[in-house]
Amino acid sequence: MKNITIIVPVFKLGEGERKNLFVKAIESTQGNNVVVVGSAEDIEVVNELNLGKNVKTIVNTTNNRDYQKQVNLALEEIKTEFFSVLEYDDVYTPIWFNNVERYISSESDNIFAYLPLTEIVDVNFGPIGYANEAVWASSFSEEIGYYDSQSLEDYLNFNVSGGVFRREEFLQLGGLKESMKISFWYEFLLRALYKGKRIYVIPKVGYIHTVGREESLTKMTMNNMEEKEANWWIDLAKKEYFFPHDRNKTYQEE
Amino acid sequence: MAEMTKKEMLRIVDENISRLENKDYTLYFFVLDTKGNPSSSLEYIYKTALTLSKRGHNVVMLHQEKDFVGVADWLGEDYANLKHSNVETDNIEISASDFLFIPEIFANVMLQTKNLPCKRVVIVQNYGNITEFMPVSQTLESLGIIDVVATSKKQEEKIKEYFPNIRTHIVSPAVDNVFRDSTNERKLIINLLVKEQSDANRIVKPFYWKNPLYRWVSFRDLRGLPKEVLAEALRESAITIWADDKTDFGISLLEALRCGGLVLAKIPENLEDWMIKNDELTDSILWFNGIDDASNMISSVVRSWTMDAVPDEVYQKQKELNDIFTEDIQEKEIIEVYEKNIINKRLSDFKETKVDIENNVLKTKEE
Repeated sequence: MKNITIIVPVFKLGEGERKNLFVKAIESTQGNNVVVVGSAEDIEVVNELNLGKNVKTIVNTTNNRDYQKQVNLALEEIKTEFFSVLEYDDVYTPIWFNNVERYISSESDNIFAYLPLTEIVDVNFGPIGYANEAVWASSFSEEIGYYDSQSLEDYLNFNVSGGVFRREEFLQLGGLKESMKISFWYEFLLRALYKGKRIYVIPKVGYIHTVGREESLTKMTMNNMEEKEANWWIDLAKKEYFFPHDRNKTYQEE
Repeated sequence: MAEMTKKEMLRIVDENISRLENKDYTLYFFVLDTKGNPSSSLEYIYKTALTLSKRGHNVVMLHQEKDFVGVADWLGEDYANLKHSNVETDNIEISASDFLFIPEIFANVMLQTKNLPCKRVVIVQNYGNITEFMPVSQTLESLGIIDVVATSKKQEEKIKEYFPNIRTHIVSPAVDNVFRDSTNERKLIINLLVKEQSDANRIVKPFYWKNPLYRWVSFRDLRGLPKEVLAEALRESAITIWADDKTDFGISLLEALRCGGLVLAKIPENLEDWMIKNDELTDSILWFNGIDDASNMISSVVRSWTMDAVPDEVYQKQKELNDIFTEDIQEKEIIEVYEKNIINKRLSDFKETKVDIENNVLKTKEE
């Protein structure tokens, strides 16, 4: 696909199975432009892999290795019309980018983001279910196939990774808020919808997301966070999306 | 009938010949008022009437409803603007050079109009209606009907079987040009083209019960939609299910195929000619045997469609049916049957009668 850059934030790539999973993830990008963002150590691992000319790297020289920070760092560098974020232990399906191109050229209305129908699998690649599928249920949202604010209020089974976004509009919206912990994508989607952006789910399985892997960033974050705090971040997202910029909120235990 | 003089008879025959030669006659089509509900058999008759009207024939749609609703809402203004008359309240004068076309459901009209001087022709779209509505004591021949226009060879064969002396003609239904493919990407919505709510239930509920992972897949019942809206719904959806055992012809199945989505169809009880190829069911359609088989087939197809795993060959096979039953083909058949085989035949019959009178073959009152 022309005019797209795939951002791959990495973390402690040298540990465990991560490197192998990362290589599989890169293989699924099908020759598209890729930017890998990580610490100097992680980028050294990436460079040793000789992944090809289409894979560039950005060294994160800050102390903040959060996913959202690394995505924002990449967005400062890339210039393509579209971008997508790939988690290092997930894969795109071979049909995804063809479908995105087809839907982009087919849709007359201006769509800001194309999300995939994401297949959720366990660590053994056993199917568990789907994410983003609910928008195709007739009673879910105002318009079938699209997210809207009301539908997202009570729905957290969305998956943004693998989605294709219009970069400039993404930046105009303020990008990801780095202070938001687990709910940064949720807050962003609510903010984009609040600003009238159209977010469409292409009804094709475009992305395979593995859950339950011990080394995953989500799992590690959740292991260090109590349910009470996780809920707090979710609730905060529902309030913060009115504000375009990061207000640097920190967890306030009640 | 009192015998007429040769001169009187010649005058009447000449008048009718003149009317037929100058298109000074009327084609009456008897229609049922479906009260605004779409009906493919009624659409067939209106299409025939409109085609003939556009070709310069006087066309009148006859009905017997005090509160006639008509077809404007679902067929459009072109059809609704054809001249309509109520046989109960309007003064209708029918002459020998006129034509009355009666759908097969109106066995009573065939009887009531037996003594009219005009040419009467029965339109048969479903021979089952003949067996249902016509008393056993009657035949088409006994009602003075000689010509039948049928929609397919199969319908024609049955009519010939029941009434061997009838002259039959075929005018196939046509898929309206509004049913066409689209280059837009499709939505994952499953259309249901079924006759009964119970059929929809037998497809949808087991699908959800057996496939909880697909609880998010949406179904849309297309019953009763106006034609343009129906075509748009068929165009935008990825998959359409067709199940209609009582179909006259399967035109809605062809309409779905023409719109380019994936079509799954239940094998109907009555197979039409076009559904058969080389003595087998056509492979241009993904068939399923019984309505209870639909849910499993749908889940496989949804899975394949969401993964772009439906072979291109399936779509190519479907497209092979795009060239049959077009409006152009139907118009040619209408010209052949209505203008040449019915109207011109009527004219030549009058001319032969004239010759017979002149040659004293027909008995007339002595001058």
